[in-house]
Amino acid sequence: MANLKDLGKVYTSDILIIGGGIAGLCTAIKAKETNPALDVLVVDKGSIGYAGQSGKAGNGITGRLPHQNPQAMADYLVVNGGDYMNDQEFLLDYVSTNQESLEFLDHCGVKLSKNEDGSIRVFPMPNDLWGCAGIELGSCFSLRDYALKVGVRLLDRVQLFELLTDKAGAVIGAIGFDCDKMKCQIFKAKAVAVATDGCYFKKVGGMFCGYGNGIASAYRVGALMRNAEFSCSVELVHKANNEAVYGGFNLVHNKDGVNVSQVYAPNAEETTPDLHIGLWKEVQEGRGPLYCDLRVLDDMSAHIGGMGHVNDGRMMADKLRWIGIEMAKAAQTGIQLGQTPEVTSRMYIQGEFLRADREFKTNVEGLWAPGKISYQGSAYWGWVRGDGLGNGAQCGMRAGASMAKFATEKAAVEPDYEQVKALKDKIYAPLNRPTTRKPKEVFDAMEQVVFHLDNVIVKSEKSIQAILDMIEELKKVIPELTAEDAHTLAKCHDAADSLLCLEIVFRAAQMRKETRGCVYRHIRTDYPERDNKNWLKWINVKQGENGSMELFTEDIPMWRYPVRPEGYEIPEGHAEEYYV
Amino acid sequence: MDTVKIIIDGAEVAVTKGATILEASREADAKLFNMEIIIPTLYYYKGLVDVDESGVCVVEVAGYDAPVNASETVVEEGMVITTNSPKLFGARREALAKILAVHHHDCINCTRSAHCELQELLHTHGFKNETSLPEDQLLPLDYSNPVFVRDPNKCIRCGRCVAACGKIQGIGAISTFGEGLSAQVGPNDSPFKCAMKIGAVACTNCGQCLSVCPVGALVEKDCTDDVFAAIADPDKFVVVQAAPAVRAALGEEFDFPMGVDVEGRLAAALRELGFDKVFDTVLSADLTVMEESNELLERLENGGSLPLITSCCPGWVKYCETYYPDLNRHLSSCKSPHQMFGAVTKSYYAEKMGIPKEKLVVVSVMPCTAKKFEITREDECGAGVPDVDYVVTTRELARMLNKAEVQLRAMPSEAFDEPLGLGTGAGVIFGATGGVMEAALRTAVEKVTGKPLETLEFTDIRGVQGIKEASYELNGKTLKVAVVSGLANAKKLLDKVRSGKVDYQFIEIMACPGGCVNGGGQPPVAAAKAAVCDVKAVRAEALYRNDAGKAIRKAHENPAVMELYREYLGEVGSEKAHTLLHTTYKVR
Repeated sequence: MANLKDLGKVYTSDILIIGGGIAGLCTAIKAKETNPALDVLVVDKGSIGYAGQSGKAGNGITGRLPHQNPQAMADYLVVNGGDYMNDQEFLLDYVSTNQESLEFLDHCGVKLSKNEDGSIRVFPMPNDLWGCAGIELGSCFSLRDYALKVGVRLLDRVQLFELLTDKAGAVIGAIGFDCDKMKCQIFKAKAVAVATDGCYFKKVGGMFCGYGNGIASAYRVGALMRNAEFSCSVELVHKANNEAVYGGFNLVHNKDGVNVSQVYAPNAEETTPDLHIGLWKEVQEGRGPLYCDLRVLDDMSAHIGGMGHVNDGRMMADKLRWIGIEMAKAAQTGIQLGQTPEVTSRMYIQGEFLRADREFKTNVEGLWAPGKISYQGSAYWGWVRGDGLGNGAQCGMRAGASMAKFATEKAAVEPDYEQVKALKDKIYAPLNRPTTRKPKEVFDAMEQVVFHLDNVIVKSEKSIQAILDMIEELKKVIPELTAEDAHTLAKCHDAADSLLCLEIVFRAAQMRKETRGCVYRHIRTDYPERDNKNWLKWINVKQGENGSMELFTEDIPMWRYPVRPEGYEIPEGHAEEYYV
Repeated sequence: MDTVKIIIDGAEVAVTKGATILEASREADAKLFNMEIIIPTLYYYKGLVDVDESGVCVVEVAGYDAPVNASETVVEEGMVITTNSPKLFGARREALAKILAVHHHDCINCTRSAHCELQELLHTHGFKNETSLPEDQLLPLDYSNPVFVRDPNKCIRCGRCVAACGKIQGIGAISTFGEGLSAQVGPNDSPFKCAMKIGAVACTNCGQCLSVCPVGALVEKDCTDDVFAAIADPDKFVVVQAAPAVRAALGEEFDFPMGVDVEGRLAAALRELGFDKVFDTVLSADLTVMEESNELLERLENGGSLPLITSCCPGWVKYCETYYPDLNRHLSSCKSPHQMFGAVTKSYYAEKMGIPKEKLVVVSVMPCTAKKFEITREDECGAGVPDVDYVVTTRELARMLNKAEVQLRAMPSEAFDEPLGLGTGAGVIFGATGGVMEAALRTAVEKVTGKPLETLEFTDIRGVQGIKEASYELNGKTLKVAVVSGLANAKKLLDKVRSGKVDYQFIEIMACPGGCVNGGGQPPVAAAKAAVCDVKAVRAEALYRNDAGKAIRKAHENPAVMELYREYLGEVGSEKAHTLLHTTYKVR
C-alpha cells in the first residue's frame, strides 16, 4: 500500500500550529499546559523567536487598570474603531480578558513593565478607557524559551501551503516544503491552527511578513472570511527607509513650515486616511517635500513614540537598543534620520479577515485561527495601539485551551494518500512547467497598479472594477508561473495566495455600497455617506461549490447589542434582546 | 550591606558600595524593572578576568572628559553614569577595530561563528566588509595538544584561558608573553620566555580553557567527519552513547534556555542522525556504581588503600598520575563509565546480537575533552579492541546536528534503545559534582545495612561548592567522605591526604568545577551570561530533576544491569568484570 513516507518527511503530533510568532507560541504553550500529555508542534517558515511581527512592534501592550470598565472600552471601540461593524458580544468578552493576557505573558517569562511590588505596571491611555503596559521587544524569545521548557516542539524553515482534510472536511494536517532543500514535509495532527499572520502583499514590508498562505489555505478548505472590505489604510513612514514614524502623525510639516497635520486631521489620536488624503493634496499642489518635526513632541506623539513614558512603564532598554541599532545602521548605510526626517505616505492593505469565534476556532472542524490572521474576522474590527501584541496572547490563551480540549478527545485520522499526493503535485507544479513567467510579475503588477491612494484608500465602482479586471488577468498568469528553487517556488504560491486575498478585499469592497470605518476606512466616492439603513451588515466570503468566490451578507444582530447608531430601528422579524 | 546611590542612564538606584561600575550596572539591571542596562565586555569573565582592557567596557561618567573603564572604576555616591551614547559607540568601535586588525576573522570556517563574543560585538557595532589578515601573515596552527587545536591568529589576548588554567585548575600550564595585542600565549615553563608549542606542558586535557575562550582560538580536535563516515559505511554497526551531562546542556546550542533537560529529544536527534543504536551512558554509570561500591566495601573490609578515590574523570586521573603519582593506588580501578560501556558493547552486546566486534563502532558523546585522550590510554581495550572509537563533545554533536539539519527543538521526546539504553536516576546524577558519591552511597548503604533507604537524596554532598565533606553511619561504623571539583581544590585536599591530616574513606574528584555539567566539552557560556547565572548549578538542577522523575533511582535496581551480570559478567567484581570494566594507572 502506498505510504505517506514515500511522498515526503512525515511529522506526527496531536496539535500542529502553523506560524511561530507571538500568537502561535502562546497557543502552543497554553495547549501544552492545558494537557502536558499532548504532543504540540509549531512550524515556521522563518526562525522562531525572530519570526512574526511582535519583535518589531511598539513595545506597548493593551491592559486594563482596576477602575477601567471593559464595557466602556467596548462601547468606545464600537463607535471609534469598528463603526458598528463589531460583534459586540465577542468584543466585550475579548476586552474583558485584556489583563489576563498580560498575566499569561508574565507567567511565560515575558518581561513586562513592573511596579515596585512586582505587579504588572499598566499606565492609562489618554482617554483613560484602557491601559498599556511596557513589554520587551524580544517577547518571542522569552516565549520560545518557555515553550521549550514545557516541552513544545519547534520546527524552523518549513513553509506550509495546503491543509489536509478528512472525508468529512475536518482539517487533519498540512503540507509544504522546507525552505532550504525543498523537501516535501507532511504534517499529521488532530487539531491545526493557522497562526500565519494576515496577507500584506509584500508591499508593506517592515514588521508585516505574511503573504496570505494561511488565509488562502483556510479558504480552500471552506473557511469563511468577514470584514475583508475594511482592510485598507495608510501609514506615515520615513522616506529614507520606508519605516513607520511612530507617533509622528500630528507633526507633519510642509515646505513652508506649516503643520499640515493640524490642517487636515487636528489633534488626531491615530493616523487616518483623512490626513493622508490631505498630505497627497499638499504634494500635488507643490508644497512638498513633507517632513516630520520631532524636536517638539505633543502629548500623543510622545505617548505613542514611547518617549513620554521612559520612567512610566515603557521599556527604556528597548529604546536604547533601538538607538544602538540605529547607530549601527547609520554606520553601515550612512542614512541618518535626524530630528526632521522627510516623510511620505505608505498605502497598505492588511488582509486579516479569516472569520473566527470566541475560541478563535474557524467554521471548519479542526481548524483554529489565532493572531492577526483573524483580527478583523473575529470580534475585533478596529485598532488599538498595543493590541497587536495583546491579540497574540489573548488568541493564544483561548485557542490553546480549546485545541487542547479538542485534541484530547479526538482520535487521530490518517490522511488520504491520494489527497496528499494531489496537493504535493499542485505545490511542486511550477517546477515542471514549460513556461517562463515569474511570480515577481504578479507582485509588481499588484504593487504598481493597486498601491495608489485613489485605488486603495479612495474607491469607486469604476476603480474597483478596474482592479478586479486586473486581478482576472493576473489569475491567468498564476498557472503559468515557473520556479527553479525553493525560494521561487514559495513565491509562486505566495503570489497566488496574495492575489486571492486581494480579490476577496476588492470583491467585498465592490459589494459594500457606502462609506464607513475609522482607521481602516472604506471610502466610496460614489457612495460617500454611511448607510445605516441598508448596510448594518457583514459581508462574508467563501469558496463556493464550483470553486468560484461566493459573497453573502449577514445582518448584524444590533437588537442584541448595547451600542446602536442614532435612529436605528429593529428590523421586522426581530425583537429587542438587549434592553429588556 | 552598605550602598551608594548612583544615577545610571537617567535612573537613580542604590548599589553595593565598593562595586565596580560594571558590577553596579548588573545590580541596577536586576533592580530596575523597566530598564535593561548592558555594558559590553570582551575580556571580562567572572572569576577569571576582572579588568576588561579590551576598550569596549567603557562608560561615560559625569565630570570626566574621556570614557572610563567600567570594570575597573568603583562607583561613588552620586556618580552619574551613561552606558550608551554616540561617543561611547565611537570609542567601542575604535577598540574593536584595533582587535579586528590582529584577528583572523575566518568566520565562515570557524566553529565558534554565531557563538563568538567578538562577532556579536562586531555585528552590533556596524562592522562589515572588513579586510582579513593577509594569508602570508598567518601563524601556523598549533596541533601539539592531543585534544585541542590552538589558532594564534584568532587569539584576542583576553587572558581567560591563562586564568582558567592557573586560577581555577591551579596548574598554570600556560602564560602570556608580551604586552597588549602583540602578546602571545604559550607554555609557562618556556625557558625562552616566549610562545612555544602548547603540547610541551603537562596538560590534563580538562578543556576549561576552551570553554571560556571568547572566540575560536581554542577548539577541540574535531572528529565529526570520521563519525559521519562511520555512519555512512554499510559495513559498520555504529552505536552511540550519550553521557548524563550532555542532556543538561546540549539544548543551549539550540537556543534552549539554560537548565532544560533534553534527554528525550537527544535520543530522537541521535536516531535521526542515523546511528544504528542509540544507547545511554547512564546505564554504564549504574554499572560503575556496582563495581565501585563493591570496591569500596572490599577495601573497607580487607584493609585496602583508603581513601578510595573515584576514577570516572580522565582529567583528574591524568592529574593524579602526573602530580600525585604516589596516590595512584588510591584511585578506583574502575574504568570511567563510557569506557565500561564500550567494553560491554564490544563483548556482551556484540555476542548477544551476533555482530563481530571489529564491525562495531562505539561513539561517545561527552561533555568532556579529556575523554578524547582517555580512549587512547593503555589498558582501555576490555574486549581486545579499543573500548571506544570516537569521542565527540557536546559542542561537536551540536555541529553534527546542524550539519545534518536535524533540529533538536523540533524533536519529539523518545526513549533510548534497549537493552543498553536503560539508566536509573543514580546514573543520571553522575554529571554533577557529588553525583557519583551519592549514587554509590545509595547502593553501598543498602548493601551494608540490608534495608531500603528512607530518603535517596544525600543533600550534604549536593551543591556547587568546590570542597564538600560529610560522614555517614554504616552499621555502627562512620564513613567519612569528601567531594571535590576543580583541580585547584583537589590540590588542597590531596596535600592533606598525602600528609595524613585527614582520614576520609571515600573521595570523589572531578577536574571541572561543578563536575561534568561544566565540562570542557560543553557549550561555551558567554561572559555576560556567566556573570549573572551560576551555570554549573543550573545545569546540575536539570539532572537532579531528571533523577527525581525517574521510576528507578538506584543502580542495583537497574534491570538491564542485573540482566548483564546474570547473563554475562557473573558476580559484581568477578574476573570477567575485572577484565572488561577495570583498568590500571601509571606514573607520568
